[in-house]
Amino acid sequence: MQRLFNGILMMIAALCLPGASCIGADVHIEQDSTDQASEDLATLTGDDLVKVDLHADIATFLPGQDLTLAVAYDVRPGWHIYWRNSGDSGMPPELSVKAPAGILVGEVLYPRPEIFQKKQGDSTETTFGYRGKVCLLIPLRITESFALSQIDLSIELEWLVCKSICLLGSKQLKLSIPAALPGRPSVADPFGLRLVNVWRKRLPVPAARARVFASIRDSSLQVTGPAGLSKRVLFIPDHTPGVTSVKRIPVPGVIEDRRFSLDVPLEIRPEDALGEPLRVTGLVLLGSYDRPRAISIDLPLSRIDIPRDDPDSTGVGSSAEH
Amino acid sequence: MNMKTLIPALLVAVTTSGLGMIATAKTAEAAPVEATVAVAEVGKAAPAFSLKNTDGKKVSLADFKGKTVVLEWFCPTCPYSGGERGGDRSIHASGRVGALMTAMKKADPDAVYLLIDSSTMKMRTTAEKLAEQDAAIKKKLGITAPILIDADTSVAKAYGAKATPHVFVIDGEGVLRYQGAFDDQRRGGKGLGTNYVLTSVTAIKKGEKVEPTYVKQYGCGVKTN
Repeated sequence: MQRLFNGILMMIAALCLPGASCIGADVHIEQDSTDQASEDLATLTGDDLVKVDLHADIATFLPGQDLTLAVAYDVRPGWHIYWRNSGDSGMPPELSVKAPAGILVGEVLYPRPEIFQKKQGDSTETTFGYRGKVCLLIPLRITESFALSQIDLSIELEWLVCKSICLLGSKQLKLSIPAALPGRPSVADPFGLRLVNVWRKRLPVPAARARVFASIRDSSLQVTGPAGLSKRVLFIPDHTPGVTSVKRIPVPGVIEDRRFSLDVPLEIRPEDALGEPLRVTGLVLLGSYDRPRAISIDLPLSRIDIPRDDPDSTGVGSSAEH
Repeated sequence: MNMKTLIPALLVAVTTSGLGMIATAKTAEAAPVEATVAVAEVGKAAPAFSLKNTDGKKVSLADFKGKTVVLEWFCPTCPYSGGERGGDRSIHASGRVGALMTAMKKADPDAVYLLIDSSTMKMRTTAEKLAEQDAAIKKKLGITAPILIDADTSVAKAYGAKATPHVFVIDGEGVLRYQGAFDDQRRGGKGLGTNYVLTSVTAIKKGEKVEPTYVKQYGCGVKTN
């Protein structure tokens, strides 16, 4: 009897282990890792911790065609790489594509990230990134005049991978895509296409497509839109020099009658904008990391949004339904 | 209820609640950690500190009253800070800190540059061992600035230091005038580039407004607990 009772207690203990990671949750509270001792940090490199691979959604091409590259990262458990805004520390992965003339390379597309938080004394370190497997997508366009019989692509990758310490990794990957046979259509690469489709679904959608309305009022970003079945909404900022959130990140919003509203008070400092136009950019996160819905906000700040020293001035506000 | 019926009931209850916990862990969103604003704020008095350097000598912010003081959060292994494996990414191994020191001497010969290492927790080591490691890396990389050991990470907490490198520039009156990135070469480089420390030190020396006052820092996280 005693053994059975002990067994039950052990089962409870196993299920209630503190520090269990919140797999699939947006906000991952980082615990002090206990497996660090088992990894030889002195000899480890970032190359050991992240495996990378390159795929395309097509196996053969036709001039004038668009294609998408999927750069696949497989990060060792316990470690993570970063989103394009790494947050309080870190560094986004670097990707540099070398393609022949006649191939136009688009911007890297980042899927919805996770939020990593670590309590640091009275404050909190908040970073954004990815654990496990993730694909970054790169759209390419083959011009009509492209005349080579093969597209030879190479991509230089560099990444910072962190746990309690951070390590750099790098690799060069190559991919060649032959032209379609004369008179034949382009052929899809089944595995690459599947990867691209899976990760495209995790990309943030522009606000207009999600029927989301964003505006700036009195130095505050205000966002409203349909929440669907989500019970929680969060805002995370992108890297926007001169514009920072006054509230802690991520900023939670309110959901009522299946609509969300977010109010993000901003500190706007034109002197910190590094000569760039002031903008508010970031993601509205709905759903969960497993069932993601992310909406991208990109709102330029007009002159009237920028607070002046005159205390009587009132911001009328700029607004945009993207 | 006798023992025969109690045990299966208990098992069902425990198993059900356990499964619920697994399900919760997979789908529920963890609550964001409450955070308070860091103590150090641009335009306000910089937090006082007193720390030992790698030679065991005590160094205090108060020692430099009247002088501009630059604090650089440092980690001997971070590829963006003192980590040799960082190559051009490392602001020390690439010679960018050395280039700054030379330029700073011209802009303000009295300005003081201090490194603070708060990585005892991160590197699971003691203050003494960290001081030894820092002394070795200081010699190897030719770092001329003192490295102060923030063993209990209290100074990192007081300043809200988030990354290595994360720099803070304090004017002669003890007011924080800039905090954030060391320079604009987050992808590495050997020259000065746009160095925000130099920009700040020069502006303070000339009695001008410091601009920018904040640029997002980059590098490895500072672990304070």
